[in-house]
Order: sequence, then structure tokens, then C-alpha cells
Amino acid sequence: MSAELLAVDDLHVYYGSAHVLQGISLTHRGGVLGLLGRNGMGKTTLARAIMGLVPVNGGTVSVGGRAITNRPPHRVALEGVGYVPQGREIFPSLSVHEHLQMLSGRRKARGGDGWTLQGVYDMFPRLRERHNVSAGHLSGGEQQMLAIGRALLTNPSLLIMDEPSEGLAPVIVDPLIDKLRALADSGMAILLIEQNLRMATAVADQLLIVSSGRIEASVAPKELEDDDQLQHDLLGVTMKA
Amino acid sequence: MPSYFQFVLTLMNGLTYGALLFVIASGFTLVFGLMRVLNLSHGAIYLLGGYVGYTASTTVSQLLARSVPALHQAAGGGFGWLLGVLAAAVAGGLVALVLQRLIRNVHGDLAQTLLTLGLAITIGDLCLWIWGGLPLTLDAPDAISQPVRIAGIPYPGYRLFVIGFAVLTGVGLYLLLFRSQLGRIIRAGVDNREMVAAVGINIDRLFLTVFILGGALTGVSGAIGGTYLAFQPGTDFDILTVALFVVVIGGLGSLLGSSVGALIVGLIDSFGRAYFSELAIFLLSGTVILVLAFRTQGLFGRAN
Repeated sequence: MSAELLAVDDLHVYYGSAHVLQGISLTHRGGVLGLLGRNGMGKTTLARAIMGLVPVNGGTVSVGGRAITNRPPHRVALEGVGYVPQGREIFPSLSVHEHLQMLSGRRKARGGDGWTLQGVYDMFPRLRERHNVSAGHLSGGEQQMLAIGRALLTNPSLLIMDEPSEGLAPVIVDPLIDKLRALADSGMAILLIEQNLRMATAVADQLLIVSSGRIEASVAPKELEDDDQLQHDLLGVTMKA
Repeated sequence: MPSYFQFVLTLMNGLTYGALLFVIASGFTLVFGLMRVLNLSHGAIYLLGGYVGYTASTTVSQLLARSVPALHQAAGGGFGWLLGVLAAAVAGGLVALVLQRLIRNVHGDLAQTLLTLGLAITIGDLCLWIWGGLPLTLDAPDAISQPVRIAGIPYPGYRLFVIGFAVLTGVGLYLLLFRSQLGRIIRAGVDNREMVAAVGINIDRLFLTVFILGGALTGVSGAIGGTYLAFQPGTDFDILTVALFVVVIGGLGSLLGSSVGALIVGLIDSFGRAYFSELAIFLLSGTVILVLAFRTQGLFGRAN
């Protein structure tokens, strides 16, 4: 059990009478696990349920073998889950530097030196250039860097990223793909939620297809990338127009 | 020149009242900004601060006068008063602690607001039961109550102390909010509570800290205000109303808004009473109506 960074077992979430997650199970043992699916299929709800931001109605979530089902979000974060939410959700009243200052040194890494403010600036030099700027005035791509930096400073053993490519131009997405790949190669485990097929196949080691609150299939990125028919069957879209 | 005399006096009184209102409103706005709870027991905490401060300061002064008269003389009542202010801070902080523990189990803005109203009425009645209905004031220490000449006119030193205290409170709160780690977390929480929790910060404990800070500040303002303005049953809702005026004009959740709103309300109140006594209350409520009509979020509030 302890080898599993994240284990989700038969997870059910309701919003009122809507059955949004209908028994999702998955295990994450390292690397980049991609969750791919169309809009409204429950991907974001799954991320929020793991983080403790929405109540879980059935099933369990555990991190590193420890049960975190329905724990308050700050407990989940302290168990080593970093969260880069959909829409970035940076704090507009704080400057770039204040975001990082706020978290720097709060949670020590489990072994190793852990992330520092300077480490984040080294990864995203653009943030260093903009360190005094109010986060509300950053571009979408810069906000995404800040959201990632903020999550890294909690020294997570698993990083959940919800649609990091959303609303970003392709010229911004390409360097972001490189950064995520570099992060993964340095040993950071990532749960990547995406609608963007190109980003998901470029970054993930394995892909789970989510549809109507269930895991519908598990495919290798290469397999999905090369097979237009499979893309169409699973996602209703293809990479090529 | 009686008219010049009256003008300077009215101006100074307005500034003093505005200064006190700023201290009262900043606690109110701090709690609202972070927790989105309109704390209607704010005026009751002010009144309780006055009563507790009164009892603590008179008791200590009497004890000291009896046991160490020389020290009491030398301090000019300063010990008793200082301890009164401290006791008021503790009382305000304790009420805030109780309120926060009660309110975290209640969900919905209306239910939470009604809870604070219920607490306000309960505190008001308990105060009436314990301290009776007569107006009371704390005795100012001799050291800070000597008259000071301002523009040729003698002005009570204690009122200048109130202005100084408000300035220090403002600077202190500014440093806390914009220069400290706690301040960064509070401001982040005002923006987005969920994400503050999701980066590993215990939001419940943060709320408690801010609530106690706001309560203690309000208790202190009750003792400091109660040293020059008499307080009695009913003062609680008078203060709540004026605090609401200040934050409506200045904008809820903004420290700058509280200071500007407090000065506007203090000056309108003072000049209104001195020059247009029949119109005084209409001038104040008229200003509030104008702000609400043309700038609903207040002068420095965030539109949302």
C-alpha cells in the first residue's frame, strides 16, 4: 500500500441530486498520470474532492497510505498534496513575491532540501522579473507560473494540476509543457487534469479517460496520439482538424 | 473672537471623534473583510469594554490609593487607567473568542448575522444587570489630560491622546496587514479562503486570530472612548450605527476607507451639532444615502 502516492477507491460525489462522481478508482505510483476528458465530466470535482474542497459522499482517498477522505483542505495539503487549481486562483491583493514569501519555509520537505523561494524564481525567471507586480496584473501565463510556484513551496509529494493550459496561447503552452516535463523528470509526481490533448499526451506517462463521472479507459499517450479513431471514440475530438 | 474659537474647537472635536471612530471601525472592517460576517455585536463589545475598563480602573486605583498612596499620587491614576484599558482588551478578545466558536457551526450569512445580533442584545442586558443604567466614564490619568494650546486655544490633552492613539493603531494595522507574514495570509484569505486552506493554512485558526484581534481592539476603543464620552445602556447600538455609517461611506473591508469614512463622519457630526443642530442627524444619514445611491461599495470599497 505504501508505494501508492495516491489511491482513490470507488469515490462518489453528489452536488445536490446530481451524481457527479460515480465510483472513480485510480492509483498513482509516480510519474505523470493524466486525466483526460471533455468538459463537465467530473475531472475538476475529482481534484476538489481529493483536496477536501467538496464533501465526499462515498469511497476513500488516501495519500502515501494515509486516509485523507473528507479531511479539511489544509490537512490534505500538509499530507503533501500540492494543488494548482483550474483558473489559477492566485491572490490578486498580493504581489508575486508576497505569494511566495507567504509559503516559503512553512512546510518542510520529506527528505531533501525542499523548494525555496529562490528555487521557484530559478525555475520561472519571469516571476523574478515581475516580483513586485500585483498578481492581479499578471498575464495568464505568468499567473500559471505563480500558481505552480505557490504549490511547489508547500513541498508536495504529489502535485495536482487542473487544466494548466486553459486559456493560454500555444506559444505559452509549449514552454509550460517543457517545464512540467522537467519537473516530472526531477521526480515530482503529478496528477495532470487536461482537456488539451496535445498537452496531456506530451506530458503524461499514462492517461485515464474520464467520462460521466467514471474512468472509461486507460491508455498510453503514444497509443492515443497515433490513433485518430481512438481519440474520436474516447473524447469525441481529434488532434488533427 | 468667539466664532474662531468655536470653529477650531469644532474641528478638533470632529477630528477626535473621527479618530475614535477609526479605531472602532477598523476592527469591524477587519473581521468583515476576512470572514464576511457582519458583526452586529460590535457596539456591545465597545460598551462592555467601557464597563470592564471602568470597574478595573476604579478598583485598581482605590486599592493602590489605600495600600501605596505615594505611588498612586505619583502615577496620577495612570496605573488604574492602564489596567482598565488592558482589562477591556481581554474582555473584548474573550467575547470574540466565544463568538467565533459559536459562529463556525452556523452556516449562511443571515443566520450568522442574527447570531451576532442575539449576542449583542445578551451582552447589553448583562451590562445593564451588572452596571445599572447610569452614564459612566473612566478617569483619565493626569499625565495625559493636561490642556494643550492649539492655534491659541486650550484643548483637552486627553482628546489629543485619542488622536495619537488612532494614528498609532492605523500605522500598527498597516504594518500588520502589509508588512507581516500574518498580514499576507489575512489578505490572501480576503481574496480566496479556499486557496489559503489548499496551501496548508488552517483557516479556522486564522479566523480565530483575526476575530480576537478585532474584539480586543474594540474593547480597547470602549475604554479609551469611554474616558471622554460617557457610556450607558443604548451606547452599544449608537456605536454600532455610527460604525456602520463609517464603513458604508469608506467601504467595507478597506483600512484606508475606514480612516477616511471615520474622518468624514466625525467632522460632519461635530460641525452638524455645532452649526446646524436641528439638521445634525440628517446631515449624517443624508451622506450615507448619497454614498449608497452613487457609490454602493463606498469610497474605497471593492465592487463585486
